[in-house]
Amino acid sequence: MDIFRLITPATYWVLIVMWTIILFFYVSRIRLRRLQSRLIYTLIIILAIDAFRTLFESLYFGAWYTSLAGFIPKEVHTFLVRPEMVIIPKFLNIIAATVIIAILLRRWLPQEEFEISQLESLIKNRTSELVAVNENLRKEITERKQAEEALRESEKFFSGTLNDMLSFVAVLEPDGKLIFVNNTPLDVAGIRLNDVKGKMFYDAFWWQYSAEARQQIKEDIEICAIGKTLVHEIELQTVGGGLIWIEYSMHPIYNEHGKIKYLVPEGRDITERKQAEEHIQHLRRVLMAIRDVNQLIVHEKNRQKLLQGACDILNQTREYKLVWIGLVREDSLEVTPVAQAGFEEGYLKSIKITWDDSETGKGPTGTAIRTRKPFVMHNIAGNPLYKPWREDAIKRGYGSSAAFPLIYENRVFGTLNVYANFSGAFDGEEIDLLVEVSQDIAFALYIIEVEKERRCAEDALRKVHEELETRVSERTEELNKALTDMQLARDRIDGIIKSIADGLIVTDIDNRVILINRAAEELLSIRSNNIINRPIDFAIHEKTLREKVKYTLDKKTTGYQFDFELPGTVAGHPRIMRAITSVIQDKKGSQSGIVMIIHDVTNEREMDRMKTEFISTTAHEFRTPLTSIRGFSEILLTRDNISSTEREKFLLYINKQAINLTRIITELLDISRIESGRGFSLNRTICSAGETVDSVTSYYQTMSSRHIFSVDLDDKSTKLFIDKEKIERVLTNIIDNAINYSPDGGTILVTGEITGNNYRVSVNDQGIGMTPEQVDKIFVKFFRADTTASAPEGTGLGMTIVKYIVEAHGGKVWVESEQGKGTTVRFTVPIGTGNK
Amino acid sequence: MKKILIVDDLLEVRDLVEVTLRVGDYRILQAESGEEAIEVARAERPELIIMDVMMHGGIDGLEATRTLKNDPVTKDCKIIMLTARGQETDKTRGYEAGADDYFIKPFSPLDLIEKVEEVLG
Repeated sequence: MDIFRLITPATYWVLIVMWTIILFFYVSRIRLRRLQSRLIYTLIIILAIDAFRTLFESLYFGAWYTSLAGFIPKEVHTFLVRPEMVIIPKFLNIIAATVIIAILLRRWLPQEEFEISQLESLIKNRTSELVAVNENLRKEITERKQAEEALRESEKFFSGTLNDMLSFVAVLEPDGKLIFVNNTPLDVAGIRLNDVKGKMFYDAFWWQYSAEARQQIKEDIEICAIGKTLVHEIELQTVGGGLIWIEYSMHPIYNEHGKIKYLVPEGRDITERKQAEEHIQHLRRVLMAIRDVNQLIVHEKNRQKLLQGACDILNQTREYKLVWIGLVREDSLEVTPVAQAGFEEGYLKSIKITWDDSETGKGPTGTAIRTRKPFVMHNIAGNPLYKPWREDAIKRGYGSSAAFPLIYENRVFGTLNVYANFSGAFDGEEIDLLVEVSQDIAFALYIIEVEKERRCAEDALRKVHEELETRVSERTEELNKALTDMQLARDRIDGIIKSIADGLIVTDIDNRVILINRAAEELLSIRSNNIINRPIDFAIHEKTLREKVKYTLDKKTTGYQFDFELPGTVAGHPRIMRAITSVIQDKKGSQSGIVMIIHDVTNEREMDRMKTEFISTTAHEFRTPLTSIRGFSEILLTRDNISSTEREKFLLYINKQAINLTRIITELLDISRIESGRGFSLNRTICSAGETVDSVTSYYQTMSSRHIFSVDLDDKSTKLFIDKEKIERVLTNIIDNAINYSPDGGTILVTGEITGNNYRVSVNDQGIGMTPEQVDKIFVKFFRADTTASAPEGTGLGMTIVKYIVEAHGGKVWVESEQGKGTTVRFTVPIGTGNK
Repeated sequence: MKKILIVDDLLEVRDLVEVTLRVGDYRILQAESGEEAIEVARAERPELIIMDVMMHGGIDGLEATRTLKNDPVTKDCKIIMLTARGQETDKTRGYEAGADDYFIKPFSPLDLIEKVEEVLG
């Protein structure tokens, strides 16, 4: 029992201590394998003893352990409730937990030792990560930022981890005099300790590359000499004049009196860290270039601006000597530069670049297009392929160049061309960057082209649309014009219809009036407003006429006509109207209405009457002389017992009537000529007024015993320029009328006088005279004042002929008459010598 | 000897008719107007009057005919209208006035003789 008492507390404490030591080694990875294994064995033995003890106690005190209801003897109880016994399980738990923590810690804690190869692989890993990030950048700006954040983290990490590459430890006196320096800096500088010992530290070889560096070290010494510790980076000169970056610190060392005894500068080579930093910076700029180009691609839709922008970005961010983008020409197999940035000075204009197999097609650009792969010209001066452009390129200071095909979906749009001012400027990462950028630009060109095609299609569509609209508007205009023309035509027809002198009524098939012109309105004394669209019955008030019209319309035959009378302006002289109907047929040939034209035939009737009268009269006029001619000639032919006196008398009768007949025929012919306007001409001569008038009046004075002739002429010798025969006819016709229309025994007065340039002849009778209406018509053809059976003989043409002859001479003829008192006919002829 | 009165305002027509009828046993009387015709007819009561229709001045032949046919003294006188108007209406008017026959100018003297003989029966 006692052995347990002894063992147990000590055992557990030993256990805890050992456990802690093992864990320490384990976690801190100090590989003290032997010690570690001995400790582990010891721990296992102790654990085994403890396990044995536990088993023994379980067996020995099993009855009490298992009997929950019984009491525990004092000694046993005392033993059982020892604090160690309670603590054991807890310790076991703590041990288990610490083991787990230790394993985890070992896993997570950073390694303190790094190999350069590890670093390199790390950088490579990071680079590939960056390239991956680079991919994502195009789509997600936020991801890009995260990547940059990660980069910055790694940068910090690198700066913290790149250390101890060059250990530099020196000891200075407080005034800066060098007492000691370790071998490493001496080896690096290729000097020996004696070369620097005892000299001022800032004058040493390491800082001789610049005055600034020496001044910096001098200031460091001064500051450190007053008790301050300094840490900064500085470049250190190595053998051969090269410089390496070191992290440099200087701290004072005090003596036992608290006084500064030495100054200790320390330095570590951080060249690789610096390089790594620069590399990261470089990658960052690369990413920025890609980002900028991608941003440009996203928002720039103008091809030229895009390409120019890409050139500008690459030129600014990558500091290339020249960046240009050329597009391929399929026709001439040339490459046309379309955008450029950087130092160029007419280079692109002076050179010719193709992508065929010729000499000008074998440079970087042509090769890149043909092979569809980037082509790098590391040394422009030395590469024979660059011959066509070498002189111009070297003149402008181009050392190396690279061309990157702009390819999207197997199509080469052109090339991105970059130039650096030194040879071998394009390494793997740079090329990767430019390949990336080229792909992006090619994609953008493709998108722009697609967009352009789309826009072209849209334009074409819009053009078609506009053309259609133009056509529609033209058609509309034509239609409008046609409508206007139609309207005009209709208005014109309406106007014509309304204006014609004849009455016109149009009815539809149901005898409703659809059109009535003004003349019809006046003739029928109605208003179109009251009759339109109403049956024609309403239009005509007079019953007989209405029935006639209705009957006519009902017959619906073309050419049907009837006459009717309307009251005239003079009582007792009605107007005679003739209505003629025509059937309106529509396109199908069926009746759609009736047109009725009402024509005033009063004048025609009068004319007809006058013609009939004329024919009758003319026949009579012919018959009278023919009676004598036929009768007496037959008598002379058939009788023998005719005395010579009688024979002569009969022959005179025949002759006279033949002459009379001739006169009648002449009159008729004259009027016919006058009317037709042919064959009537004046045969003017100079003759005196007296001679002309007397030749007619003397005949009547001897021939007519029934009337008294009085002739009174002024200036009988007045010369007239006339057709004597025709003026005699005038006088004859007028005097005939005077004789015929005045009673026997009446005086017929013929006077002549000069009125201005005319000679006026007047024939006055004391006859029956005429009404004003008769006077108005006296010159009208076939008009005869008296048409009774007992009327004087005559054709009704005499006065018409008179008027015509007088007017043909340039004179006038007129009539003054009063019914029951007599008539005076006056006419004038011009006085003249014939000189006119 | 039968008496025939010739009425016409034209002397030559009267002369023609007279000469034409000279071949028969007639006594020829002349008048140059309607009024004169009535006067002569009443006085002489001729068997036949050859009457011109259209005469200048005074009454025309139709009026004279009417007067004569309405006069008991002269109503039995045969009257032949002699006219240059040969239309139906003129004929009708002549008959209406009371004329016994109608003769149109111009005429053949032989035809006139026949007509006169026919009328006088």
